Amino acid sequence: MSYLTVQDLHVSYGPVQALRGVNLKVDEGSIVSIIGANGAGKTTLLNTLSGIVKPKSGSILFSGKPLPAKACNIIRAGLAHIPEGRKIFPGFTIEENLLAGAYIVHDKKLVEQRRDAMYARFPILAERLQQQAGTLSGGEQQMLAIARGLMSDPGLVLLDEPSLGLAPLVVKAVFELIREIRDKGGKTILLVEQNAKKALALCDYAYVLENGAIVLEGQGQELLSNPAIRKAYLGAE
Amino acid sequence: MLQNIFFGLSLGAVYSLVAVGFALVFNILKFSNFSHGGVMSFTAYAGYLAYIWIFDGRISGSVMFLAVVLTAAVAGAITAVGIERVGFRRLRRNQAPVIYYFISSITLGILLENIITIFASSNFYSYPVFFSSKNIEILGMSFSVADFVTLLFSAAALAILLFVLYRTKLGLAVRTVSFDVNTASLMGIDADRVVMATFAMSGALGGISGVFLGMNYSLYPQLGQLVVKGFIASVIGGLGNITGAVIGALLLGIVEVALIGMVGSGWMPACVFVIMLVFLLVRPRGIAGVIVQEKA
Ligand SMILES: Nc1ncnc2c1ncn2[C@@H]1O[C@H](COP(=O)(O)OP(=O)(O)OP(=O)(O)O)[C@@H](O)[C@H]1O
Ligand SMILES: [Mg+2]
Repeated sequence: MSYLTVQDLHVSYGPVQALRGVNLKVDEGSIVSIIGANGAGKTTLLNTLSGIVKPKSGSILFSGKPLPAKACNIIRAGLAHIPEGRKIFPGFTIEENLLAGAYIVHDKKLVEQRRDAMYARFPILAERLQQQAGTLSGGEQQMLAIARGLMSDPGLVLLDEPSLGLAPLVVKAVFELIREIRDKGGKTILLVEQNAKKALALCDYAYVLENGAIVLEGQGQELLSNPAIRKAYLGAE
Repeated sequence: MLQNIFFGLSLGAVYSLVAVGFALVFNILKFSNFSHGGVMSFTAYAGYLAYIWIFDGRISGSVMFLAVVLTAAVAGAITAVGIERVGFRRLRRNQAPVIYYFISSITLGILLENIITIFASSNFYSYPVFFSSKNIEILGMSFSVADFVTLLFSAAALAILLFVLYRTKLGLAVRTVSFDVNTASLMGIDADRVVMATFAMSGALGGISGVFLGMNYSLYPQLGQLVVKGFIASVIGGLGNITGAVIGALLLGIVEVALIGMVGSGWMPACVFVIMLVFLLVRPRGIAGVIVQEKA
């Protein structure tokens, strides 16, 4: 039994079919990547997992159980979604952003403990805890979004294009952070990325999404050397 | 002079209750909620009914005042929550464009007004005199007790609201939902409940302002149209901005009193609308409108 099992998932926005029968599995403790072009349906898939978008048909099992019906209860089941475009709260202080991430945690001591752990891991945030989050640089905002996503101590983390719009050095840091969250934090990660090369190099297993359907899957290294992938996603001749 | 400023402040304090009740909903659903006027009319009458049916003869003076205000606040909270259920929840489910909310809110406001007119039409009602009409003398100037209480009570109500918004988890949830419903739900925040709580807070403020307006102007079904004052204050202060709404309302109160002295009460409303127009054209974000710069 996999940690997360998605079977024959169909999602439509009115007449637009965004997902047409997606199947995938995520094993506990693994990093799984989903790569695909713009409009392939990657964000739709993550939004469906976190309950923001309702599926037309298909099943999602998390730890062998169906997910709660209301979107706001999904995080209580242990699934945190760090959304596309970071979506930090720009008018909040950094501290308030972290507290929002721990909204479901009622033990104040525990919240403070986790917050301090985040400050220890991200000294840049600690230096500016009373600064408005909207004034942070793009890279700092991404770090904050990830830190906020970890505040509920989820079992599974959904990450939607964390490297979007970041400078190469920062992208590198983000990918190292993702590995660290799995290796040290013991979390399972489902990562959506346009940066196919880095995502495939990092992950244990990967799926290629095209026009709402999985067209290829395999171990990261395996896909990296697949000629079709190299041509379509890695810019090789 | 100082006396006039004080009178303006006390007027502005009532406007600020109206404006903040109005701004709370704007802040979270991004539309101008004119049904707030209906809530104010309705609660002004609810407070009055509680006075004649329940409290009259049992209590009096400032205790009566508190009882009436509390009843109105509770009635306002319930009414506003009901309005959200009837008028806006379906729209939210369907992610309807903002203009529908706006139209729905005006419709509901007029509906409430009409219902009140059916029952209260030709009769003239007014609140009892809660406070002694004696003036307080300070430094050779006299201030009316009612103005004093208005100012203090409004300040207390706003202080409680600000505390809830900025120091409690509910407040954090409200501010989160006002940024983005979907991101809020990713944090585990139930937007439906937060919207409900916001309407309850807004309605409670509407109830308190309804009683103050009723005390100042006697009771008539269109009393709630003074919601326009809250709207003007919100525009001056920056739509949806709570602190801005308070500042805008206090300024409005002072400016109105000053204008009555300068151009008379006939010209005053026209002048106020010109000021508001200038704000809309020159500084649409209002006085406090500091919009946080969002980076890529
Ligand atoms: N809210 C929506 N309403 C209607 N259509 C939508 C909506 N969101 C996405 N779509 C459509 O669904 C399809 C999949 O979009 P989605 O955002 O999931 O793609 P994506 O793979 O995340 O793309 P990107 O890499 O650009 O983020 C697209 O054709 C898109 O136009
Ligand atoms: Mg996307």
